[in-house]
Amino acid sequence: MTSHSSLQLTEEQAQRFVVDASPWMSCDECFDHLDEYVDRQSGASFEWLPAMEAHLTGCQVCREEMESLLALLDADA
Amino acid sequence: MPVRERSNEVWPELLLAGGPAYDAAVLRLHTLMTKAARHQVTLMSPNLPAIGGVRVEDIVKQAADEATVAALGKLASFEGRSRFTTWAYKFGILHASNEVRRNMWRHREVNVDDLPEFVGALTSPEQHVEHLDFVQAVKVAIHTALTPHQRKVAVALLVDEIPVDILAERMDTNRNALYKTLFDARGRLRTQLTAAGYFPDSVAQEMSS
Repeated sequence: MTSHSSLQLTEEQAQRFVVDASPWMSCDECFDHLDEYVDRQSGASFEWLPAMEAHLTGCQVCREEMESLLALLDADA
Repeated sequence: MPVRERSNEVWPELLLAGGPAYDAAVLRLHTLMTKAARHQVTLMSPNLPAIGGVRVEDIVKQAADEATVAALGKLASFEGRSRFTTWAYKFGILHASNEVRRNMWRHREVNVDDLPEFVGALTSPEQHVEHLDFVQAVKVAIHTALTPHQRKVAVALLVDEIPVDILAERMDTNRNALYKTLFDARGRLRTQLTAAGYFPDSVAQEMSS
């Protein structure tokens, strides 16, 4: 497979390419729901929840911002 | 009172057209934004180049200012489904993280056209990938299933780890558009690799659902 040797991938990087991030949600929609997502009661369900969780799986920057918001709220508690 | 116990009602003073009560409420909002921005900058500071405390404070202040303006502009969208503090904090975190990444990448060149390209072609990708190890199969699928644009965006985000907002800025596009490109690329890769026998668990789930 010398024709592909210019791109070196680790196993972890290869896994990133095939993350199942469906159903679709945009970064803007994720931001719109972010406060409701982190404040939701455990067990609460919303129609957008599967797409939100898929987006957080597929988008590193949105995931990091969500984790940061949770950490800030925990520090406030 | 701990912040988490505060009401989820929007501060009514922010709905005023102006005056001392409005100004005081905006100041309170700015204080929340500063707290969120400082939290975010502190979290990301190990990744910041040595720029000194003054510059860090500049980043916090700029992010808090931008976040306050953004939140005031979106006040009508707050529907009380979360606590107001949580709603406000997310703006502070977003603007601070954008600002930190902008500083981290300010002097780093991002040339998407120099990202790894692939040469050659495979005429029957499924036949080629089905007996390869997983990493090789993904590499072949990247080459055969993606458009050049999808390939460049996916490699920039997932291999070179260029943050999506920085890449969007350099490519003169936006975060949503790049994430959609990545989303579609992943879908194509999974389709090809599934056809070649990878992800048997997900196939079984889809068939049973």
